[in-house]
Amino acid sequence: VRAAALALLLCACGPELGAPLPITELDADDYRLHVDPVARFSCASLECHGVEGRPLRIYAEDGLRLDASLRGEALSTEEAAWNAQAFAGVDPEPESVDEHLALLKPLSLEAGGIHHVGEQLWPDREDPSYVCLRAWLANEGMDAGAIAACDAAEAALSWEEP
Amino acid sequence: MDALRVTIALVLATGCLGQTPDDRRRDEIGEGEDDDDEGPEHHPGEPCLLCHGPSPFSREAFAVAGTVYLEQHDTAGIEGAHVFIEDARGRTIEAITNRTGNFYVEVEADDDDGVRIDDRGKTEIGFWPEYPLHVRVTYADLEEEMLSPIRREGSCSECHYREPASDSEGRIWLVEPAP
Repeated sequence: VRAAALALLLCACGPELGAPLPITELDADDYRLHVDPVARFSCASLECHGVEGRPLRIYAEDGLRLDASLRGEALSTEEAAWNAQAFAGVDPEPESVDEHLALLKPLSLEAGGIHHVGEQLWPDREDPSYVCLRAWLANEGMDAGAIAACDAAEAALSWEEP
Repeated sequence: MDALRVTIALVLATGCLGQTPDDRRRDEIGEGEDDDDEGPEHHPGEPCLLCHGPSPFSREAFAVAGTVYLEQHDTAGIEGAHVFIEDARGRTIEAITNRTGNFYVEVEADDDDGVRIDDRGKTEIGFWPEYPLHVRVTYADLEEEMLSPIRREGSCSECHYREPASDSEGRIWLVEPAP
């Protein structure tokens, strides 16, 4: 009886089931301006994270669209806002930004990354894509260095003709 | 007697499993079509690897396959388009579309770097291509290059399914529609 009572008390101390978990509000404008080109070319294709139902679902110009009428258009502000929520929600409480799941999954195992079905895309934490995404996830504003990293990543990833 | 009970239990358990989502999609392919042909020209525009992808029950499987159209809203594919696929190791695989616009790259074995093309849309290769893949398509004097690499999906139609939609880029086509 004591054990059962103790177990009931412990259950009562746990988080309320169904209660919303607050997540960080990431800057959707910065996402659209700086991070989207990186995510678009390396993460958001229709075969990878451009799929409804994935834990990290990403909208992108040539990937999944919020609405069919957006096909052929640039990423909308609403889609950017949903993407910001998806990135924040995939790891709501990282110990530090460097431990964020969205950074560890594409990072090589040698550099401390974790298994990712869609390959280990970044060899180390100096990779421009990593630097770009990390700066945005840190949620402290994108400085000139971060923006330069995003631009460099986009140039390396993009297949569009100049 | 025990064996009989186990067999009955297994049969009942299997009956409870029902169809997977992929099973349902396979059943839907070709519904309403007057087409009994199971050859290389069948079911253009459908996700080929759904039925012909790697399986533990078959030695041979498609690595990449799809259908090429001239214009975005065409419903009939084009014959004679050349599809060039370059894998992560720099190996180039060429396939030529057949009468319905279909092409398919079939892995016959896993022991050589050979590429053998036939005239019915089939290209045989002796290796599994390594992702990411880069693709371009040529037809007469037309050429289109895919903007993003393919990272895991061998069926073109998984992303290029019929008309453009929220989850489809639309068919693989070569000529911009007239404004």
